[in-house]
Amino acid sequence: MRNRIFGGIGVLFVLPMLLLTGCWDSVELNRRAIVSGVAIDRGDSEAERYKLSFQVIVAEEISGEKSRGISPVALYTGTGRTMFEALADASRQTARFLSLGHVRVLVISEKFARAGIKDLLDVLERESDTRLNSLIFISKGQPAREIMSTMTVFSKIPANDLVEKLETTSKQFGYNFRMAVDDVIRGIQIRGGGPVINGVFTRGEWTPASGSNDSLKSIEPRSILRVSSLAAFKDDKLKGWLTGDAALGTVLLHNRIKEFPVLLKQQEGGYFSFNIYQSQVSLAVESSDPEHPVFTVKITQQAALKEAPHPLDLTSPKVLEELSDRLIKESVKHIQAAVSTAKELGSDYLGFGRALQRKDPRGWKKVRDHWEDVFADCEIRFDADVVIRHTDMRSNSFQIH
Amino acid sequence: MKSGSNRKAQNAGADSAPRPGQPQGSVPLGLADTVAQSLLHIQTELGGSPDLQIRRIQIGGERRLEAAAVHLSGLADPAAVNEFVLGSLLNHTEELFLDRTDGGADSRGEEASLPQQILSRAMETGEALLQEEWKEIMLAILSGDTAILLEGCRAAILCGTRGGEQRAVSEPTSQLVVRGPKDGFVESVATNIALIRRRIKSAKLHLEVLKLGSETHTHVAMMYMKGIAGEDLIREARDRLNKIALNEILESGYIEELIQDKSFTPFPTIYNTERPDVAAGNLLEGRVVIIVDGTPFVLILPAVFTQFFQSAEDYSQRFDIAILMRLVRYLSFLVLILGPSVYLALTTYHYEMIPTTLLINLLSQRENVPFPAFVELLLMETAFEILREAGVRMPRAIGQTVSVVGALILGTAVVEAGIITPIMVIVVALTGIASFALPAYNMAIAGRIIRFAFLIMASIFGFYGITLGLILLVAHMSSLRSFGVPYLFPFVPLSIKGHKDTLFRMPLWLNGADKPPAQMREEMPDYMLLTTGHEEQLPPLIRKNCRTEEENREE
Amino acid sequence: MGKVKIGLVEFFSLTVLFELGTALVVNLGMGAGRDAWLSILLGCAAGLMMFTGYAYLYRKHPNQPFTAYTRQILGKYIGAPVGLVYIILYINLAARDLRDGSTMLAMATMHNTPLFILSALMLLSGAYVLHKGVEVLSRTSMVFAFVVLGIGLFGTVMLILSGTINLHRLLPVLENGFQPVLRSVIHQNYMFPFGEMVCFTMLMPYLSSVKKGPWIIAAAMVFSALLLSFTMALNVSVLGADIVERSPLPLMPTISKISISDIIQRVDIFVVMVLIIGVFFKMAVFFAAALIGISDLFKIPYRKMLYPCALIILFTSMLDARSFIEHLDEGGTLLYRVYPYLMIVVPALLVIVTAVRDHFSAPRPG
Repeated sequence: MRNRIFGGIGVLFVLPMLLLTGCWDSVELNRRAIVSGVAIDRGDSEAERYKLSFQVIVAEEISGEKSRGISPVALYTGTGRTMFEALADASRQTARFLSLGHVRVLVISEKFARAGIKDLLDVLERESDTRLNSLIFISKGQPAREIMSTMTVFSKIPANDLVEKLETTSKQFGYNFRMAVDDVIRGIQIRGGGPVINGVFTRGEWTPASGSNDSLKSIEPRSILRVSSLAAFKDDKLKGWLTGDAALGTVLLHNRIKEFPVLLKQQEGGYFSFNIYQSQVSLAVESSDPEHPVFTVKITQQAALKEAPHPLDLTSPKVLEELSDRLIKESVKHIQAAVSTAKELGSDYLGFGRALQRKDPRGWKKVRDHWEDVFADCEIRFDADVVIRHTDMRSNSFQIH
Repeated sequence: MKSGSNRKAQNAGADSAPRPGQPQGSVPLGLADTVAQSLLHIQTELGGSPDLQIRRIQIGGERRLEAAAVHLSGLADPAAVNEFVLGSLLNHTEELFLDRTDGGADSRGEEASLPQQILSRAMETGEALLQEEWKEIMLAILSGDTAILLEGCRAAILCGTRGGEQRAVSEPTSQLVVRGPKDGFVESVATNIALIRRRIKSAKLHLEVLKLGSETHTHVAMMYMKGIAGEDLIREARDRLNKIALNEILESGYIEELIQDKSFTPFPTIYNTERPDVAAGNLLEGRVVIIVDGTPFVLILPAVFTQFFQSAEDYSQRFDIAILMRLVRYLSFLVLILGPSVYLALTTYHYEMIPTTLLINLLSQRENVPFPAFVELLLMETAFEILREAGVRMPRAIGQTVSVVGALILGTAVVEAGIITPIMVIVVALTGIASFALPAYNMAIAGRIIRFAFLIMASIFGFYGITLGLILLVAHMSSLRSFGVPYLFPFVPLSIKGHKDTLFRMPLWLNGADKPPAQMREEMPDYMLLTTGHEEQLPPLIRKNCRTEEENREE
Repeated sequence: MGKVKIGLVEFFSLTVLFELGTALVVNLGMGAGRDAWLSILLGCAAGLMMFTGYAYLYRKHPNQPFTAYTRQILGKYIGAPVGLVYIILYINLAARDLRDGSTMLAMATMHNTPLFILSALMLLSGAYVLHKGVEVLSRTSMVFAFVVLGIGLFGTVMLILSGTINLHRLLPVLENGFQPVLRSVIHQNYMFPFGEMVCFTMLMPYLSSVKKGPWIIAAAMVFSALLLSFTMALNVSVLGADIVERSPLPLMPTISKISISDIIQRVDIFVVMVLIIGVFFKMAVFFAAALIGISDLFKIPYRKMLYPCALIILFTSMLDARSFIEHLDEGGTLLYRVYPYLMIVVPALLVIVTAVRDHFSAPRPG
């Protein structure tokens, strides 16, 4: 019994001590400044090697009752020789703890990307607060902070708007796809290759006014964030931008596209539109001689006819057969464009090296140091199959009669 | 059991001390030869209490014999006293005396047989016996029986006339069901036994009655199904009941506290119910039921954790619905103990887990609130406890209004004043409602206490504290036993067979109608069947598990 | 050890939790790169061979813990010091495990909480549970084995739904041949976590069935090896071998890749829960082994030494190393240089001595 009394007294003493001095890691929510997006720019001097702009959510403006009508996000910029110093610099300007747990978007300026991004990725994966799921963008041709300080229509938080835009484009009619921190890190480690990162830019000229609500007051906003183009890297350096067929082919090779439109030109003028979905691309390697590997790109796709303003007999299997053949050619064209661009840029960001490594690890070891050269003149064959499953809600066009 | 032995000693002391009102003379109180003297003794013993009804009569027609019928008004059934006791004394004794005309009334050989004859030939009451022990006679009078004193006889005839005002059998107030029997136990042990017997018309249903409490002499009935309940369980229960040494037993809670395996735990290890159908069901499952006079709450033992999540209604509803309702109850227990602490840990430690949109919402709510989340939660939880307590204690007519008004108005006002965040009110209200979803009130109280412990752990250590707290909680629970049955059975130790009626209620046709009901103690391997509570009988290592024993030895 | 017995199911779950322990969250066997899963399975095979020896000794002395039968086999004067060495080993292992756990916790979420507080809380909880008895520890383990498995199942399903698993990352198997795998097995995997089963020689007297007991433990070892192997394969297939290799707690980033339409995100706190549960039970088992050893060797009641022993473990763990790197380095050395003697050589000697004695003392047929 006495033991229990002593125990009780002990607890009574220790508990308040813990309660008063404890809670070491506890931070009240209203002591936090939630960062939704970070822009990373390169400053001019060595002391401003990193220029980080944090887009901080002003929660009260978004859902509070007592909003003051100010901007829903605020941008704090810090500079430093390292990422960490820049973060510390920015924290000193905010009244609250900059909390990186909800960073959804990281935008790196093109200038920075061309100089190499590997240093900044280290802190992103080391820090336990940041998330590997944050999406990375490269701001095309403009400072990254401009992207982070553009007011957007649909989400009060521009970073969220960016995420949503990417999701929409990756699901429908676009060639951009989710590229998170760990994808980029893995991409950099590809020997002779590099990651592919989404590009972002503002359509319309960016002015400081783009960052205020005034920009949204007209029906046509002055500047709109646009997710487009792919930044192709060699190791950690930006080598060039992919657009059009090359970009589409690249994404096809990564198997990251859900559906996309393809147009076929008709001799009589006019076009057919197809929606391609369930596209599967795989690489087969034949490496009897690792110095001259032969890759076979296997493509299987399904297509749905979307637009056929022609008096063509779509009930005939023959016609559809013919159309599928043309679609096959189209797909091959996309991928060929991607490969030739990659060869031009001298970077195997398409994953051919990986395929070889998987198939023939010994052969890969022989060529991995000069893979760029081997890649530049390796042979690529195609084995494509496209099926037009149906012609949607009508068979022939009314123009047939 | 230490406290028990202490009390025993006190009792002994109390017994030897002179009582107030007792004449200091050397004559001990007891039956005397004359009725007048005996009556005087009775009156002295009861301190001249005015509710003592003495009816002096003369029996035996012409051969008049002084007699008296004594009972306490209110306790005895007046009709029975009038009709059967007095009636039989006045009407049927005459012939009795006529038969005995040859012998003299004062001859010593007949004195003993006269009361016997009255008993066997005159008394019309069903329950009557001859008693010479003074203590027993007094106890009988105090229980509502009528004592008949005869001139020149040192024994009294005790007639069972217990009765008086009693609450009628009505719907239980604590464990309500939508569908199922609506009768509930009452305060009378006899009625309660009858309620159970009416449901189980089996000769196997055995009943043992004890009188406990040195002052209250409370009837405690122990019921079990012979052959279904384990013999050692019955023995254990009987032993523990017999060891109770307490002056007063006014409610089954007194007994529960004294016979449970371990005193230092928030968890109830003995089930109580107000419903005869629940008691009957448990009897058939091989448990022991203890009924205490003066309370409608009946004890059922052994009780395991899962039992507190069963409701009588589970067996009236379809099994799939019953399973769903059970799962909801377990969920609500989890919400009850973890709700506020998880909220606290999420917002102050692991904000990254909250979806961004929700986080923004929470953030804007917290913007102008003065207190830290922990204080806020503590305030609200305390306020809620006060409200609940007030609602229970209030007269029923306004009780509900108070809780509704309190919860609604206070909640709204506090939010509007900007003292508490709205989400906090939601969290606290949710845990409050969750505590009402549990069918067993005592389990809900246990949950409410544990909730505060988790709150503190979460405020200092976040999820680390919660996880460790959970480990400690489960360890504590698995160290508990109820009459030798591990408390977490059949989860730990795992018994698939035992799971017929725990997390899920299996359909009745799956249980098999001809199979005997589940017997927990029989399903367990021998080494788990260790009873606790009695030092001598304990296997050596279990003694170490039992805290009270250890402390006894240490002191 | 009296009459307390632990059922087979409880022993199974205790073994599983002990094996998973910290191993589930760390980058186990990453010396073998993306073939870590293979090296774990091989390590388990080696561990099972060692366990056969322990089981043999147990079958010969079903009611005695390790420290008791060493005295019986080697004699009082050699056996007692050997027993003492084992007690020190268990205390050391418990302390190392505690340090592992609390540091990982500090790295993962509790950045500012003093290590001492984290360790002390964990140890106090362990002491409380052990105060209730080994039996209670084993029963508690059952509930938490289900919790860990539940979290594992949830994580796997969510990862599949998030579409982050890419099995290509596991290829090519055995890129550099068999050597790295073997090296990883020899340096780490047969010892950690499978060789640490040596402490179960102290707990096995509690087994409720002499006949089935060792089989159940072996089954638990295989089961946990499969789980560990699966987890490492999952890590690699989500993050790629390189990131896993560089992460001290790869399961955390793996699980943090779960993202289901922004509602379920950053659930890595579940991994922290698994970490806490694993560390707790592993430490508690070592702690219990040390306590049983002490009470057996010095004839002190089990509970008397509970808190002194807890203090020793706490301070050993705190004074063990200045930094986690130092701690890990020390662990690597111990694993390679010291533990093999205690986990293989001494038990092997005991097995040989027992077998030889049995052989000669057995009545010759005919």
